[in-house]
Amino acid sequence: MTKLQREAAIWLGGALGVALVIGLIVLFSLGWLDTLATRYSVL
Amino acid sequence: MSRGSARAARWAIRGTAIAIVLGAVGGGAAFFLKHRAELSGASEVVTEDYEVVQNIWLKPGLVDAQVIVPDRPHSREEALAHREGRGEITRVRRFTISTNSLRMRAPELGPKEAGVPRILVLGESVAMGWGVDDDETFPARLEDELDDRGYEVEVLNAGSPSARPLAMSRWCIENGPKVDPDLLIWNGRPMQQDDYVGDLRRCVEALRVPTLAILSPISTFDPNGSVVYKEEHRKLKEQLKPDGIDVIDLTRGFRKAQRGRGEVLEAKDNLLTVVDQESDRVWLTAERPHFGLPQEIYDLFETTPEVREHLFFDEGHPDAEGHALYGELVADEVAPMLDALR
Repeated sequence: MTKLQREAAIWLGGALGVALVIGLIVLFSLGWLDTLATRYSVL
Repeated sequence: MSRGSARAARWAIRGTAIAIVLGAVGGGAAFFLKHRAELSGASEVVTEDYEVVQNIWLKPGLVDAQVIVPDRPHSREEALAHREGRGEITRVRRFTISTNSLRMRAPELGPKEAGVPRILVLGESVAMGWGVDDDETFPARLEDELDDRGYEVEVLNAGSPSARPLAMSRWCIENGPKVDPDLLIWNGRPMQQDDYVGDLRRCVEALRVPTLAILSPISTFDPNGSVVYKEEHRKLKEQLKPDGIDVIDLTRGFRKAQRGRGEVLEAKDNLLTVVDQESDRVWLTAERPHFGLPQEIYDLFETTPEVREHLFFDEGHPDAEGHALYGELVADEVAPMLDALR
């Protein structure tokens, strides 16, 4: 692997990893990945 | 590769990486804001100030609005804390609601079909079917049940969460004549401050149709309701006798069907005990508080999914199976009334 390829793997891999984490945080906070809702009606 | 082009490639890689991260941040924020609005709307579509009844009522024109509620007994404090995003309730259920322009959990009203009696169900969250889908509510199940018994009827659900008799009566006077029912079912339980009998009489006065009053079943996890329901039934039956209105209490029918199945709450002296009727296992015994249930019982439900009362999903609302039984029990009373209409 050339130095440039290694650098590309680190930068792009890191960026995709960060994007994945952000996506998971958003979905979790919306309650899409568990059954926990943030709000519901109260009787 | 020349030194210049290598540097350009390096900057292109870094630029792409930064663009991916910025895109994820911006896209994630936009997605979150859009869907957070939808989620918070889920509670607001169910409750809203409605000037006619001067109380909260279902919104008109809902199409498969999703509602998420605790799937276990809960205190009001727990519910409010959770609503504010600082709660601990993880045991929840989802259901969808559609309403027509009259804020009924029913399709848009068409003209009445000749020979098909129209039954209007007015009531609180239990009648509305809090916690279950549109086709699982007791009015829907009543229509199915009567159909199975050879009665073609149209049952219309005008229940709404938190509806008190006064609000039901106001809804009835405003919208009841538009519905033009042949039979009225008045479903709910009075609270101390309610003028249950007076409000029911005002609704009947506006509609002038045969009426059945139903007292919603009391869960065993409602220790206060369990103490008063028999006397409440006796008193209302007596008060409404001169009006020719029968009052039925579904608690006995539910308790009979619950025997030997699921968890129940047993009250003795000042102690409450959660018992699994299938294994006779005693989950816990705790002192009875002045209001609601001891926190230990809420915690038991929260941490132990197999703890479940048969026919109810919380301390006041029937689950889908409960609503099916509800439909059967009510059909027993409504069938002779339909015979009298013929």
